[in-house]
Amino acid sequence: MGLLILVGVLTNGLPAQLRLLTLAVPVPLGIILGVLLYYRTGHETVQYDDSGFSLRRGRSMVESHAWTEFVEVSLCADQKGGVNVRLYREPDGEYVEIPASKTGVDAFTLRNSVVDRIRRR
Amino acid sequence: MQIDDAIDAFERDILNGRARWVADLNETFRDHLVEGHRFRMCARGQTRGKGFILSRLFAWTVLPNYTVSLYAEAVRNSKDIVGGRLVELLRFIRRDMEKRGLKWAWLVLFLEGDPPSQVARSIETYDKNDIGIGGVNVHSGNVLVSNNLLGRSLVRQMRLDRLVPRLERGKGK
Repeated sequence: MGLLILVGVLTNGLPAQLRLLTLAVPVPLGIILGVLLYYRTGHETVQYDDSGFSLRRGRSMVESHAWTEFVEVSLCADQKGGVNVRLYREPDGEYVEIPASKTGVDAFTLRNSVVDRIRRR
Repeated sequence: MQIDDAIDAFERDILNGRARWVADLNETFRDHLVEGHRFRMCARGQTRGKGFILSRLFAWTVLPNYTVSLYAEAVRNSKDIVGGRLVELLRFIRRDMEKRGLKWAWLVLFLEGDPPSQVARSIETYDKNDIGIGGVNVHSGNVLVSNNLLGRSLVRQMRLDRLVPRLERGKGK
């Protein structure tokens, strides 16, 4: 975006066709860099099995938990219109959230499945 | 219509913002223990909703930030609910309200059949401003609410009276 603004300012006096040509570099470059940045820092994935689950954000951050760490489960609506499954270590205490949209499973189904796993311990 | 289906649908509605004109109920629990009693569903939130820039500014300047909760109870045999049971449920809720500093609460009873007339009268004449009470017959869709602002909000804002008809229409498709 910054690059586009800069290009717009620098090409202010040029003919329209030439200005359009100058977008040929920053637009695809911006898209590619944006996608790379997203997968490096913002892309979230969730993996889970019968023993626990792991949350990964970008390339580096991995958080792993066992179902046995938690005692209570709730569903929580976030600001972006999604619904997360929230797992509490103790009632009204610390919690960890699983973004349900990243699992590909309906939040209510995921919550019921998580409740079953927690109760099995 | 099964009670569990009705409660599931109500929970979905709440998380989709059904109560947004009254409160931002953004977290729900199932089979939640409240002061020794397990309510079939509980929802928590606050009266000040969260929005984006202007909405947030409006909410912050105009709306009070009360913490509120909604409690849903499944009553499998409507004839078994008596006035004493209703009083007991309200007692659990009031204790939770004191403990967690809640300003408002709602109690919604999901009933298989119409409640006894004594209980219906107790609900409809309840006029204290702390708890809104509602009862839904999951077979007929009949709703009765308490005689206070919170009770009326269950019908006017949360559209509790449309829950069962909507589910019946959905099943008929």
